[in-house]
Amino acid sequence: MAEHDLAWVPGRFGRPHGTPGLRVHELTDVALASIVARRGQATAAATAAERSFGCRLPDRARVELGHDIAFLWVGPGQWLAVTGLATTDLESRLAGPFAGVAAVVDQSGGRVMLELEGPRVRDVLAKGFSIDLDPRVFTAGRVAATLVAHLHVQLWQVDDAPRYRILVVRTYFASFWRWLGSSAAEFGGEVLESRRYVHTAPAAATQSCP
Amino acid sequence: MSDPSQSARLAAGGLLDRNDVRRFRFDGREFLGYAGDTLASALVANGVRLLGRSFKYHRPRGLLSAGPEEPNALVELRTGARREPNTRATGIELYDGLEAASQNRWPSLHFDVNAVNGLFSSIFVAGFYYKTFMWPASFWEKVYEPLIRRAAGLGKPPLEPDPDQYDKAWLHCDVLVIGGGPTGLAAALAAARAGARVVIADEDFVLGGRALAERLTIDDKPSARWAHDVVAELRSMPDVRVMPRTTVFGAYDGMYGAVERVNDHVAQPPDFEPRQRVWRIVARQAVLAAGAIERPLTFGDNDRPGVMLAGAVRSYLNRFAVRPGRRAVVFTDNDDGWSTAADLLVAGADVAAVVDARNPETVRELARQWPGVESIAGVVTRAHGGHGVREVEVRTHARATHRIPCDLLATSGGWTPTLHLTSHRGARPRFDATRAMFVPGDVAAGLIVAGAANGEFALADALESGHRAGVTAAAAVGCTRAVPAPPAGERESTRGESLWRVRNCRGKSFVDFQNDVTTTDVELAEREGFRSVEHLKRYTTLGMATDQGKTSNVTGLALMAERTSRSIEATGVTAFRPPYTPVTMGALAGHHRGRDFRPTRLPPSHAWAARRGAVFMETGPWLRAQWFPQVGDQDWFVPTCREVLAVRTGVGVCDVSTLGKIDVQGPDAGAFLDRLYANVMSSLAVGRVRYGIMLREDGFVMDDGTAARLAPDRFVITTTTAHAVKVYQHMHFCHQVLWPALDVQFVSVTDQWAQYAVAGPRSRELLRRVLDPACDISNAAFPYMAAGPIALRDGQRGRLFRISFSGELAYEVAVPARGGEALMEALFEAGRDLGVLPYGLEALNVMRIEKGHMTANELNGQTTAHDLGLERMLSGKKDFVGATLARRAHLVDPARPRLVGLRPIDPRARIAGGMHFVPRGAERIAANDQGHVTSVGYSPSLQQWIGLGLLARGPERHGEHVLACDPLRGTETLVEIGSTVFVDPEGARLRG
Repeated sequence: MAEHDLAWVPGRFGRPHGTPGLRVHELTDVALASIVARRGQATAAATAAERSFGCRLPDRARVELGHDIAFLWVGPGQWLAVTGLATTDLESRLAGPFAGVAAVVDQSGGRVMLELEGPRVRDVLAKGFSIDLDPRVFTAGRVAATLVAHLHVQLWQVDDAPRYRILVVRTYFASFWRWLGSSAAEFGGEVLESRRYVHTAPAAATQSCP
Repeated sequence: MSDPSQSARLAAGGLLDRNDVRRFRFDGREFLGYAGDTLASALVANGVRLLGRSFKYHRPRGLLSAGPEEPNALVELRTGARREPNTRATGIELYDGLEAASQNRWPSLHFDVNAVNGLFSSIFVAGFYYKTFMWPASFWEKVYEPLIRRAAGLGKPPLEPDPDQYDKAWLHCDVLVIGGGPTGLAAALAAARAGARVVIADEDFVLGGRALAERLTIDDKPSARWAHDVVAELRSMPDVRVMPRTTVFGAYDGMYGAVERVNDHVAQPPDFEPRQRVWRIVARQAVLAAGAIERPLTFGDNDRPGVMLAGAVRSYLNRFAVRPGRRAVVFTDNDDGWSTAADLLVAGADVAAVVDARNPETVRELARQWPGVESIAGVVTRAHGGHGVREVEVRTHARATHRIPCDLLATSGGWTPTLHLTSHRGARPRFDATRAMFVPGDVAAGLIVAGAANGEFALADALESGHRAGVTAAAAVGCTRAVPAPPAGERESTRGESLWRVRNCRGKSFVDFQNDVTTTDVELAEREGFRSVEHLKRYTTLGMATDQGKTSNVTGLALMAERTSRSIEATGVTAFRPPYTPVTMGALAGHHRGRDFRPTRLPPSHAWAARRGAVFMETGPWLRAQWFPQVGDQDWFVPTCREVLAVRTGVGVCDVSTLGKIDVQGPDAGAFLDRLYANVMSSLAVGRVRYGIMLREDGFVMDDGTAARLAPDRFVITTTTAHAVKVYQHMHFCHQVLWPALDVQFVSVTDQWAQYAVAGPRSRELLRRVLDPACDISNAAFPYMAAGPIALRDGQRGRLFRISFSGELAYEVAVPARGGEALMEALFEAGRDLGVLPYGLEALNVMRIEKGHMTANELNGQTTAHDLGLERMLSGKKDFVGATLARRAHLVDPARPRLVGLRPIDPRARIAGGMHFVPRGAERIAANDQGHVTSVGYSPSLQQWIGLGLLARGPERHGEHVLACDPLRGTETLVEIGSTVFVDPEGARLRG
């Protein structure tokens, strides 16, 4: 089920002919949680993550991939845990491992996640993102908490295709979508069917690079 | 293929595609031109010399230049909603079907009524606005201003909305090269070969600058060919972006602003494409290779159509293969002017004479170098010919005068480096007295000025300078790959003297063509004391309007220096500010116009509410349901009353997700909240909610809300919708700056939760139908001000708070926002037989007024806890933000306006928010003002209008009758002051 209120109609938009410059689909059933280290416990939190999930918490603007969970850097001592929605809510899953070292807050309902790719995806993003997305500067595994069209978003480059994921505040999603549609229109865009979010383990992530 | 109508078109040459004929209209007449033309060159090709009327005197004007400095040839481009006034004909790329019109003339370009202004020019002198229209003052708005606006001014903007799209984007590079002439091309090539990511931008649609306009040789090729080849090489390099039609208009901290005219060269942008795109270019290094602008010479009636800059004449001849005249006189004070004569001869024009203002020896020497050219050591004193030059008056140094018939006068007063971007970040240009020109001052780090912009005018110097700048810029970002030698070009003579004006001329000697500022205006400004360069500009308007004095500033300055016997250096220079050339507002706005001006925030039930036909209103960024009309409803009144009564007698549901929600955790969470809130929060039991207020540091109330304790070390607090962001920022400031030692963590969860108020005597009954039966919400198990986790029948997990804004038995139920719509549907499905209704902001507002609850109307930043009757909430047992200043004597003064309830004595009378209180019988004047009405609503429970207000000594005046008056609309109503609680004062309902 789509996690926003917009009519989500798969198909072309903008320039109708030629290869679409942007392909976009929603990743549904994403579980998210904010992790904020207790005072002076950032290292302990990173260690706790490694023990329980197979990767440390990133200490700079990157994503770290664990066995079944990804951690995105948000700010000093702050992260966002990302995984597929399951019957046990993410906050409960993380509460134990991070007990005493970090506060955990469920955010699964608060964001919409999109995945974007296509030959003109960088040109589309350049219309709103002030950061340099050149492959020499922003590479697979990098994340950025930044502004686009006056909105706070998180951007995450998944692979070198390049494929990006963007987390948008849910209540502002309609405005973001209008910005994306208007920005991609000249290159032509295609909305694809939504897909369930599935965590990609580190080894598999490398293989999935086209 | 050549066309007979283009009578001034040369038979061969130029950078044109003569197979691509383009039709266009100017002032309704149809003409033909070629691909590669500008509107200006195509008009020259068709013998059109008169292009517009001047700003003040409505004098006939033609082309002065061939570039962005053009002051005269401003036209209205396109028609209807796409009409664009004040567009320079020299910058308009000719497209098929182009339509343009001259402006500032009535009824026609050739016969203009306001040209009579020229006859009365003695009153249109500098400062004429200030002098002529001083008295009577009452005439200004009604008579003078409309008159001036009709007579002066330039083109007219369209009134319809712009049908085109505009775009904004970011661009990052190592080296930005501004300007695509020989210098810029050499710089870009060197930087790119060194390995840098290069962007080269030029406002023209073909890169090359003067390499296109002159008959020069670079690297043994014709210069235009060289430019073409370099551009091709640059385009072939993966890390180079070549951007024609792109003006870098401003230099800012860490960034350059540029506008790309993506589709200005077509009649209408293709579907989905923007007309223009604003680029914000982040460049680690930049090379300014903006070139130079030629100065006109100042003599009598130097604004006649057919008086043209010498460099522009060369550009029309060589690049556009058009002859601006058949018989030319060249008037110059420098060697460069002479090459114009040569180009004219090559193009088959007659050169009647080269008039050189320098000493006879220099002129004789040059005459020997240019055999076959008639030369005169002297000056042109006046140009004759109303709609175009017919002859010029020449005075030799030996005081002999001649009249020379001609239809073209090419003038060259030397070149001014284009330094605009160097001064956008504060550096003022510096005057180089030996070369008599402004050169870059202390330019900001990361910007290298090269070529003509740096006063290096000779081709060979410019190429070397550009090359060096490219290498240096690339090296500064660590790109040091070896590059071949710079391109080689000739080193022409750039010798010259500055003739700022020709003395003793008759007629008007224009300094600023666009603003009709003459030498006498500059003299008058000096006589009247406006000697500072800033005063000169404002008093005479020299250097204002769309061209910002590109051809006039230096001359005006030199004349002022001469009048005041100061050096030009001491006279100063006005700073250049962005933009370099005008940028359309649409391009600066990009996507963000109309409903996209700012983002809109939609609560989780928005789509559901829209399906129910809700009427929405904007509250801050949010779009919230105001009321839910049903069939037959004419306005807001009936639905609002219906919704209020539904809650008061049955059950209603309202989306309150817009309240700010913040999750606060950590061992010190309670201590943190105690310091933030005026009342104590740390004593709250787990599973309970408490109302709280926060003060600002100055003791005034900042916000109110609730705090619920979910666990010993975890709270979730709410803020008002209006102050959610401010409170969150305040919390971060307090934690990071004031109390970093507190071990507390907090994140906003406003978006995470869909939260609905379920209110009314039957709310418990409704909730039981959607909650998991295991959740006990009986009054005993879940009393007033309880909070706790719940599960819904569909398995969703959420939270329940027993709090009430309406005063009824009420709950707020929260689920993760993705399930918000499903919950709304479940509630209305389950409550159908209970008559459940959704209620909007209007009903919410009525009910909170009935209960005396406050919103931003009362929490307006000017009220204290005492004013609002909340003084008992100021804890005396602990310190908190605002505690000390809240106790200032005048903040607790009972004479301050304090919160009261009010209702009209006449139950049918209406009251309005913002009405002011004056004592009964007192005059309705500010001195008797005792406060104002903050909120009003029609109470269906009381069947009359009620309100809240802030009244001086209000709580002491219950029962008193006071006049509420609205002096703006001339209405007034006698109201009775009383308690703020109108309904269920004991609060029995919410505890039931």
